[in-house]
Amino acid sequence: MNESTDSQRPAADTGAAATTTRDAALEHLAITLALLGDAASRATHTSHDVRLHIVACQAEHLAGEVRTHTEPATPQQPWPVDAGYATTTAAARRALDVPEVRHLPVPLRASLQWLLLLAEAAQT
Amino acid sequence: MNSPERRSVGELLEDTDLTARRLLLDPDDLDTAAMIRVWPELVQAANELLASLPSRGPHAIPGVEATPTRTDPLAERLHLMATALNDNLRGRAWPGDGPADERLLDMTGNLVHTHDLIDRRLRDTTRPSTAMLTDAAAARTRVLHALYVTAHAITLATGAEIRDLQTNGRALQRRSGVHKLTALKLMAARIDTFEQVAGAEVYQAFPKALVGNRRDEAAPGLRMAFAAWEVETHRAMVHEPTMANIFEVSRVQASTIALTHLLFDAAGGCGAIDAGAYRANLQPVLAAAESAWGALHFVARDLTSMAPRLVARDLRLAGTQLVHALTQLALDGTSVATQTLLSERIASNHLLATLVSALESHRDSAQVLMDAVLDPRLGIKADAAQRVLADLASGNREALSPQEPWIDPRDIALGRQVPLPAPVRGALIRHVEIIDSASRRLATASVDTSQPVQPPRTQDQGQVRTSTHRGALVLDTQVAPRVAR
Repeated sequence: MNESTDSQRPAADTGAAATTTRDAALEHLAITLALLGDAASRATHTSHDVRLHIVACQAEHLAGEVRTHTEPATPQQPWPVDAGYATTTAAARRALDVPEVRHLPVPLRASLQWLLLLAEAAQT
Repeated sequence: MNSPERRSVGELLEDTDLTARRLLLDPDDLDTAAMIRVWPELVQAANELLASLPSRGPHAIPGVEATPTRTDPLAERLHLMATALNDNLRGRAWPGDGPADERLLDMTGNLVHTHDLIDRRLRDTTRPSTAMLTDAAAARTRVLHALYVTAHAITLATGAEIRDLQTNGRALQRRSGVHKLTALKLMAARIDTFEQVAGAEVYQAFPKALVGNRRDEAAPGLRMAFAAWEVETHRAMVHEPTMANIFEVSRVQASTIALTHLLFDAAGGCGAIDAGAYRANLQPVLAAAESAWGALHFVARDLTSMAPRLVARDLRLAGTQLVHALTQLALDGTSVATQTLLSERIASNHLLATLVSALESHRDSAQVLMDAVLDPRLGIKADAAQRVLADLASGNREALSPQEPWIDPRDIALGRQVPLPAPVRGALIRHVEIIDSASRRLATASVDTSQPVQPPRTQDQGQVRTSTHRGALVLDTQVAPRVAR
């Protein structure tokens, strides 16, 4: 029995580590989306492009939805300094393209992809 | 001992509607305090009844796994409006304890009996038939009409009582008279908004739905999305008045106005509305309203940045749904739709009525937002409060001394939540007052501008347009003979 337990432990550890890594990636994605929402909101001060309003709303909404897929105990990450709309859009794109995000449900990933395309289109 | 209820669902609802109409026969006899004491129970009974009616299930939200719970969004919203008013009046000297209006009590009893009858009969029904849905639509319209007429009666009674008080100098010299006048004015504004919200729906369906021939709804998906959003706004502001929720409400409101602005611009461009009247009246007011909501949103954003915002889940879902519905109308892929495409969508969806109805309801959101901003439970993170206080101090040095210790440094160091400092609350109140003022002008301007230049009108559409002329008496005169028993 001990032998069996010992042989399972590394697998369990690996699984826990994978979950932690995935949750950290999702939390990072949620933070970048919230920042993107705020950056889009600030951009509406000076632009009449209605797409910025849509990005501002849906980025924050999808950040909340991504967070529902993380463990409640996921450690809080340091909040990056807001760096403007273009930089924040690029950061959100990088956060979405990491492999761990593939665990999210397909409809949610599709919505995230569309949001990033819209955010990128709105800055051109 | 009470005799058993022998009336049918139809009879109970007709009696309820008739009782409501009789309130208007002699408005001078109405007792405002007695009516308002029963008002929350009446609206609650209506809400429970409408939630029990058979309906098609709620729509799923794209990209979101959760499905919204099944309710009647409009009835839920009206119930929350009545509850918010009741909560506000409960802490005041007027109306206090006293007799309740017998007619409103009868109406409440009728609605409760109707609910029980329907619940017993339809408890095990999972897939309602078309006939059942038609009956349900008729019942719903009857109930909403009764609420609408009753709200109008209360509005008349309240207005009369305010006038009496204002002309009675001696009454206003007493503190009780001043308190009563304040409460009456608050009530007048809230019930007036209630009447507008209920009236908009009644005029959409009445009286066609009563004879099982409901008119096709204009842009039903968008209309439902607006209704769900308005309900969730009420729920969040009444039950969870947090800064994150205020942030969410202000952002979605600002965005919906921006998108509505785009759609009305297109409507003006394609002649669906009078372009000249639109540019002169509605367009500047839309810009002002967008700016007012935006200004509140910017403060709420800064008060909640640098940490995850815990927005109420249902509020977030309703916001997602609403913005998604408007996005489908405004965009083509990731580009703003061309004028031609926007014109086609406006023409094919008949959505201007839905947008006007939504613009009329902004004042309701402003009122419930004011309750939230005044709520003593409202708190914020100490560091965010400090940042915003510093901004306020830099903008108005006389009003806010930077030496004044509004925030304990230990609260900032430990990242604590603190009660809303008075200067921050004051700034929020000013923003909400500006929103309220803009919303009032928005309601008027949207109605005045939304008349089509060359309307392909049928008689039915003419009745819908009468929603711009408010007042239950107008409705009664026009349609009462057609639905008389």
